[in-house]
Amino acid sequence: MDPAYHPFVYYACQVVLIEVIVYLLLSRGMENWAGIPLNIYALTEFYLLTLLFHNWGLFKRKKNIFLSILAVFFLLFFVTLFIRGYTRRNHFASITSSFVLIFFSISAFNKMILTERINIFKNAKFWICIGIAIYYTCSILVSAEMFSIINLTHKVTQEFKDNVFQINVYANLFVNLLYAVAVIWIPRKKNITTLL
Amino acid sequence: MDTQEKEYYNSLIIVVIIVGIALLYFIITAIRYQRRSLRMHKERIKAEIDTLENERKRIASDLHDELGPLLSAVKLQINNLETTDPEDLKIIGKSSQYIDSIITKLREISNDLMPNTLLRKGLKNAIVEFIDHSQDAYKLPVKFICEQDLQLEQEKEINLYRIVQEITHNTLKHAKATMLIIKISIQDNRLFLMTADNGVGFDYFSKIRDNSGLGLRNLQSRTEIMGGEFSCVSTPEKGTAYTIEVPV
Repeated sequence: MDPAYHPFVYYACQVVLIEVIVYLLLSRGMENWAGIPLNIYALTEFYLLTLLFHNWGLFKRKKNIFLSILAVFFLLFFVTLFIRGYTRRNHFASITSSFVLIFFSISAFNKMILTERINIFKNAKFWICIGIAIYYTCSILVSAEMFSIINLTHKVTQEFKDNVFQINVYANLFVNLLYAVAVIWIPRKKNITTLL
Repeated sequence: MDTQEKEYYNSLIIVVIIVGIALLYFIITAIRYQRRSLRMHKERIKAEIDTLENERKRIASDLHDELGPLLSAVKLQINNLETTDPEDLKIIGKSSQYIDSIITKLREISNDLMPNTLLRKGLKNAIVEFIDHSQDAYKLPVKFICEQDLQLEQEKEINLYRIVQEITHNTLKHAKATMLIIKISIQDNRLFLMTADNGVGFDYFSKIRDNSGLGLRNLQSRTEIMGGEFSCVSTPEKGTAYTIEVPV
């Protein structure tokens, strides 16, 4: 596999790991502790996906730009975490990272449209960018709706919460299918130096 | 869910659907634009390369078929001059030698522009001949591996030959390599042209970004018009490797 895509594989693995951890915590009645792995996940998710875009040359392969983006996000994350408490899920940072990732994926998508010379459907970047744009757009809409309603009415029923998060579940399922297609088209590593 | 929650939920569903449609429209438009731009780009590159190759063919043929015989006729005329003056004989001898050199040089230029071997005996023989010539001229050991017979369209043969020429020239000019390996193989109806050298290497992306790698763009363009894929792996101080994968 092309090493540029390694962050994507690590990202997929960590999603599975976090899902399992959060499921175990919730099934043992430890809802209050679920925020910790989710906060760690928000950090690593942003790092890995930004690294993926960096590997694709979105930041003109300048390490300084990549590190600056990470530094700004990490600073924002820890400031909000400090204010809101480390066991609560940092929704503010999640929404910010979602916006930034959507911005990155649309920029990468536009760049790909202009520069890539192979069939776009056979390009893993295309499927990953679409997946990221769809998932995080949906995620922002759902989170924003929940926040605004909770702020307005101060109380919502569990059924309402479940229905709203159901939208995310379907979006997640669809995006996972897109990622599966992307994996098929990830370029193989060109091991041609063995000629020597 | 109470009535108010139902309203909120429905409004959220409507927003999600609208955003989804907008996103879908954006993606479809972008794909159509990319396809059109790709087709136009390929047509433009193909026209440029076809013009270049036709012009090379014409110049090569003019040099070989028109100037060559003319020079031979001039040589014959000079050698037929009847003189007993030793000074004149010396001048005639020297002129004859110069004409021979010009004829040889013309043949070389004509062959560089469009090798006869490529047109008559195919890609494999043309590459062998080109490598032999390069090894003699530049003392760079070049190993060529091709175990299969290559039956390709002439247009593809010319493009692949130009790619090998460009890579060899790049290695000679910039790589400071002591070894170049070129391998051609066909697997599952795809031709793989792979090269590797042990030279100083370079930063591929900065070359492309700074627009200084015209030779690299030429390699990419020729691969694109054959409907193939081009990749270059180069590490400073560890050499450069190219892979060109083309449908046969």
